[in-house]
Amino acid sequence: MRPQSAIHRISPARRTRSGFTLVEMLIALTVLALVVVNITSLVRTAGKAFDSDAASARLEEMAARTMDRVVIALAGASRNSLTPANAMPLSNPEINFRSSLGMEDGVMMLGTPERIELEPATGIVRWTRDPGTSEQKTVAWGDLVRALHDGEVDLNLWDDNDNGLVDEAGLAFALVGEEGVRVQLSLERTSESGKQVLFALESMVNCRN
Amino acid sequence: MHGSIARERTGSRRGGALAAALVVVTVMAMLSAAMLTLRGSMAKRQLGALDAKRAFYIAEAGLAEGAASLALGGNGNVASPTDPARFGDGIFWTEALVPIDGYTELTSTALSGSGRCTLQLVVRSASDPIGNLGLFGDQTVALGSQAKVLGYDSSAEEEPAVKVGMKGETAEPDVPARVASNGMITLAAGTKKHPTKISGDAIPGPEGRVVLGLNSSVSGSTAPGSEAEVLPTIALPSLPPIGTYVAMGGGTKTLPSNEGRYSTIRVQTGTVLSIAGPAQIQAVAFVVEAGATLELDTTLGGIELYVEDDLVLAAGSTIVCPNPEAKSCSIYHTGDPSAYGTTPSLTLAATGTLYAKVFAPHLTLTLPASLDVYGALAARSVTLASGAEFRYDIATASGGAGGAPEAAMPLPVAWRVLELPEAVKSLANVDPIKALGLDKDALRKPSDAHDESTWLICFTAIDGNNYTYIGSESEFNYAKVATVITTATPADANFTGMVQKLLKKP
Repeated sequence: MRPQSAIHRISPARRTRSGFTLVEMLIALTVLALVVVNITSLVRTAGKAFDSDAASARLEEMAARTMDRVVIALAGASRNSLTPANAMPLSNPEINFRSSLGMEDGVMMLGTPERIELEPATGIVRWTRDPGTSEQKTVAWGDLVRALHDGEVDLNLWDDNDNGLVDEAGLAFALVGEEGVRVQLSLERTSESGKQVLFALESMVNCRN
Repeated sequence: MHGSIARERTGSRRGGALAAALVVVTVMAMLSAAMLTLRGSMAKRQLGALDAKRAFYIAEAGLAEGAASLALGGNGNVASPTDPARFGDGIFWTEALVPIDGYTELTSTALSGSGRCTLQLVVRSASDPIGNLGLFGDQTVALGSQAKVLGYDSSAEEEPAVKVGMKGETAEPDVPARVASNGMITLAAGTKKHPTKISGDAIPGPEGRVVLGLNSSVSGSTAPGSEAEVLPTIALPSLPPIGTYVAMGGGTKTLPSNEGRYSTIRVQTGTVLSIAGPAQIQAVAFVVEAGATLELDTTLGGIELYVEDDLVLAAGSTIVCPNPEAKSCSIYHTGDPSAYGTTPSLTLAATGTLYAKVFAPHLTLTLPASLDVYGALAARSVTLASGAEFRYDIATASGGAGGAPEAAMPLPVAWRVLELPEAVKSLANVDPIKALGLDKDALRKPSDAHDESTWLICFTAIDGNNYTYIGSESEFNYAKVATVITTATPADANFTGMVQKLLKKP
């Protein structure tokens, strides 16, 4: 029997040491860094996807709005007043017309001249009443329109995109039959992430006057 | 003895993981909220564009419903601003205005969600007022011995099958003719082999009757009409004066101008005058002498010939019509004997086949056996000489083939987008049914919302033009009236005549 003094005693309050070792810290920081990088990458990817999607949706909305305005204007136009009278496969980025104001004494009354045209330099679609006069009034109906329609390579007198029109501009008008006008619209923009977004729309309008 | 080592674990556990997790979750939540907000605003914009498109198409539907109301004999009004009709997700109402020149203006206003649209369509009646009459004599219609009135349809794609009887005799195709008068209709006696006949209806006036001679027959109804038919009035075109033209010296001649007012057009013996449409010609006198030929070619366009005094296709002259579509050729005798003091001469004694609508409301017309007429014909009195034949072309009555003229849809003439009425502009951009305080379930369907009431007002509007409105008096907007010319209700004696006159105007 050992003497009591020889009994190894556990000190009543062995103090705990809180803290991390350097190795634990390094490992924790590394793991944290990896998590943050992944999260950041995820957020960035989601952001890019949203950005691209939003840009595409905005472009689509703008194209639809511009096309609606053009279509309604041409539906109310007198077919005989449309100039230039380019029939397919030719087209024109500009169209002049006069709208019906109703009937008077059995004769259709037509309004003052109007024009819808594309400004290739700015990509803006403009509607103008009384063009070339002092009373000219112009409204921008849309922008971001391409100089050439989607798929057209160059002014090479060839139907590059196989849509029946030759060298058509981003906004193109072509007469079809006795009453119809084919309208093609092609928009393009660069999203905030630098990606090119394209949207093309086509519509057939019947002049109702 | 073994000692036990007891170790106490003491002290709190501290760490930053929860805080970090909270930060990350918060950031992600904020990002998601931002994306959702952006998406929401984009969706709102797209919804606004969709509502505008819906309103446009509902307004188009409103115009179609107004036109259908006119085709069914209504006044063109459908629903009203205070009691609109429901269509799809929106509401609409259509107002009809009948200007004096006979066209009807349909204005349709539609609301759907935040979309608003007002469209206007000008229409004219598809039924031709002269074509509708068939063979018509205001005072009398008389068929000579063995004369026939048959039906014909120039718009049919195929030749109608000819019925063959048991003995090999052929019967005429089954297209009904129409003979009418505000007086008597008489059929002289025929023979058993060649009876005097009308293949279709014979409609005398309210006080008249059909008198059938021996071996004469009417295959359809002979019941008198319920009221007298009102002859249409013809609006003379304003054409530049040209002078006299005489086609002479043999060969084929043409007029100097296909649009003009001639004092006299005369075709001398041995000469052919060829008039090719489109043409609008007025003449005080139009004479084709014996031995001369008149060619009316409507292949490339219609021909309208207005004659005020003598209209003579003399016996021995010839008439040629290369295009067998009577609705493309109209011959009007517009002269009133009471204005001239002497009775103008109306003679259609030529040989050949005439495809035309002929209208001579003030004169008596006799058709000889030498001239086959296809089309429609109306005069003060009409007589078919012995053996003469008249074929009523039902295609002259409307644009359709064989359809009931009264049910033909009116023809669109002009269309445009109008500015919204002030009352609609001031409505909030919300669901129109809520904005107007309407009960969704109480709104009528378009087909149930046709205006049946008929109140008529002729007025001068503040724009200086004269208009006629036929519809509900409670819905009429007096704000556009400068002067009231006249009003009428169904109780008035002249109401029916006024409405018919307005709706039958060309």
